[in-house]
Amino acid sequence: MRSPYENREPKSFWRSGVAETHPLTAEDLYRKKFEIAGSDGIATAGSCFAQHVARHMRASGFNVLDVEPAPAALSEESARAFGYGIYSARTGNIYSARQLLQLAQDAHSGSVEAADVWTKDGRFYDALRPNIESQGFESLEEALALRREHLDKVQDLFARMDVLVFTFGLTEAWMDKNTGRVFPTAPGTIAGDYDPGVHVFKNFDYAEVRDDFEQFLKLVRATNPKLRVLLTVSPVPLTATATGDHVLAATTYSKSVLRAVAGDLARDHDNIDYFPSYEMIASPWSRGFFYESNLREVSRAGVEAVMRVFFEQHRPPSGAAAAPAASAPTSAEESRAERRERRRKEKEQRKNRRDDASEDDAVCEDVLLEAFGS
Amino acid sequence: MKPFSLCAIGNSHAATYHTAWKNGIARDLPHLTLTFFAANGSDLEHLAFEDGAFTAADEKLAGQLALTSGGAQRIAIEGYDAFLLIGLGVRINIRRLIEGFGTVEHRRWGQVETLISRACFTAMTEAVLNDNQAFWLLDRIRAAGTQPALILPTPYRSDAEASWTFLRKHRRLADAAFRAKLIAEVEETGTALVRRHGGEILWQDESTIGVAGFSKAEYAQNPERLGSAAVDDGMHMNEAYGRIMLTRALERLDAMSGGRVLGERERLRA
Repeated sequence: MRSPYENREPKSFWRSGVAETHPLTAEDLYRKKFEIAGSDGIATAGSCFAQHVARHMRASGFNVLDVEPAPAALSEESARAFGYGIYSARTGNIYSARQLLQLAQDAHSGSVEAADVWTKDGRFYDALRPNIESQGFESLEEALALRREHLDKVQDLFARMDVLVFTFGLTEAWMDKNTGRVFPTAPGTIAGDYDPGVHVFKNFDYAEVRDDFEQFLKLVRATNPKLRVLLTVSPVPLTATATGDHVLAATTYSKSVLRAVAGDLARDHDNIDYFPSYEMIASPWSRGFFYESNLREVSRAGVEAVMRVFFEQHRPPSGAAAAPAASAPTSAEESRAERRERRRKEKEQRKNRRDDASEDDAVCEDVLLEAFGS
Repeated sequence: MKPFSLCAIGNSHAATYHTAWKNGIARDLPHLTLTFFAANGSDLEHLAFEDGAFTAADEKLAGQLALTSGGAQRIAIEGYDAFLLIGLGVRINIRRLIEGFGTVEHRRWGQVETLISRACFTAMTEAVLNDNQAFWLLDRIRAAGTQPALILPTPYRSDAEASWTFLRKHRRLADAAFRAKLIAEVEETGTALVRRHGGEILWQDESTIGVAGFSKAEYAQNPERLGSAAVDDGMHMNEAYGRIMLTRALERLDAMSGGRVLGERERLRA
C-alpha cells in the first residue's frame, strides 16, 4: 500500500517537525526564495513587529535604507521619540495594506490635505502617522509642510529600494467615510475626535487586503520594476477589536486573513517571499513562551529566535556583528574621562548596530487602546 | 556683611574672570571669597565625584587645580555658598544646530535642506547644549547641595571672524536677523534646560556682542587664557569682558542668594 505522504521530509509531519522539536532550534522552517545581498537597499515598513526586524537587519550589517535620518545631535532615544530611525522613512506604523497603498498614492501624487490633520489641546497631529510627534506640531502649516517633505522622501525610497520588508499587522481600521482615508489609530486616541457621522469602522477582508497590496505593487513597480518583497505577519494580537466579537476571535480572523494573503502573494509572485515569524511566535510550537506576561508583546527571546532563523537563510554581510551588545552600566562615581570614553563607545556601537538597551521597546500606538478598556 | 564663599570651576575661559577678579572686583567685595578651580577642558575630563566632592583623577589635573585655587585639589560642595561654572563647553553652536536642518519658520531666511518640527529643533538644541562638562558638574552639585549655581557660557567668537568662508557658504547664517532669531530660540531653550537641572545660565551680555552671534572684536584683544601667552585667537576674551560678565554674574548670584553677595551698600564698578 502506498501513501502520498511516504518519503516526505520530517518537517512535513507535525510530530517530527513541531512536537518533537524545540522552537529555539528550528530547522528547515524557512527557505529563502531570493538572495538579499549586502549591497541591496532594504526598506522596512509595517506594524510594530517590523521594528524588530528592521533593527536586527541593520545591526547585522544589511543596507537598511533611512531616507529621513534623525539630526545627528539627537540622542537615539530622542530620535525614536520623534519617529526617526524606526523604519526606512518616518512613516510610523503601517498596520494595514490599505494604509500602505494610501501612502504610495500620496507619495506619487504629492497630495497633502488639511483634513488629514487632527488637533488636540491646540497642537496639530498628522492623522496618518500621529505618533511621530508625540506633542504634535505647533501649527497646521508645520504639520502640512512636514508631511509634504515626508512624501518626497517616501517617493524616493520607493523608487530606489531593492527589497521591501513589510509586516502585515491588522485588518481592522478606522476610515473617514467622506474621503475614504484610513488611519493607523482610531480618532480620539492620540488626537482628533471620534465623530460617528464621519468615522466608520472597517474590517478588511481577504480580497480587499490582497487587492490593496497588488495595487501598491503595481504603483511602485511602475518606477521600480525589480523590487523584491519579503512579507511577514505580525504575531502581536489585537489590543482591542471594534467588531463586537471576542478579541481572541477577532485576532484569529485578522491574522488568518493576513497570513493567507501573504502566503498567496508569495505563491503567485516570483519576487515576493514570505517569512514565517508569525508561526514561530504564535503557534502551539512555542507554547506561548515567546510572549511577555500580557500574552501580547513579543519577548526578546522570541525576536532573537525569529531572527536566528532569518539569518540562517539570509546571511549577514561578512564582517558585520550579528548580535547587539548591551550598554555598560553607568556609575555615578565615574570620571568625566571615563564617561566620555563610555559614551564614545556607546555611540560607536549605536552607529554600527543602531541597537542598545531599547531592544524590545517597539513603538505601538494601538497599546493606547488599552486605556479605553474596562 | 557675612562672609560668602564662591567657587568658580572652569576651563581656559575662567582666566578672563580670574584676572577681572584679582585686578579690581575683589577689592570692592572684601567679604567675598572667590576660589578658582581651572584647567584645560581636556584635563577636566579627569575630574571625578565622590563623597560630595570633586577630585582630580590624575596628577596633571590635580596640579592645575592646586595652581589655580592656591593649593586646593578637592572641591567639597558643602564648603561653598554658590558656584560659577565657566565655559566648560556650553556654547551656542549655530553651525551644529542648523547645518542640514531647519524649521518651517527658518525657511523665511533661505532654503532648508531637511525640514524638522519646532519641537524636534528644541530637542536638538537641548541635546547640543547638554553635551558638556558644565551639566555634568551641575548635576553633581545639585545632588550634594542646594547652593545657587550659575553657568557662564563660552563667549561667542570675535566679530573680526564674521566673514568666515563658512558664513558665505551658508546664506541663512550670513543673515544677522536669522542668527539673532536663532540665538533667541536657543537661549530660551537653554534657560529652561538649565533650570530643569537646578541651576541658572547667564547668557553673554548684550554690551559685549557686535553682530548677532559674535563678540565685539575689542573684547577679544589681548585675551586671557590658562597657562599660555596671550594670543588673539578670536575665542578667548580679555579682562574687560571678564569684568562685565563677572559683575553680571555676581549681581545675579546676589539675587539668587537673598542679597548675600553684594549687600545693600555694595556696588560694583563695572
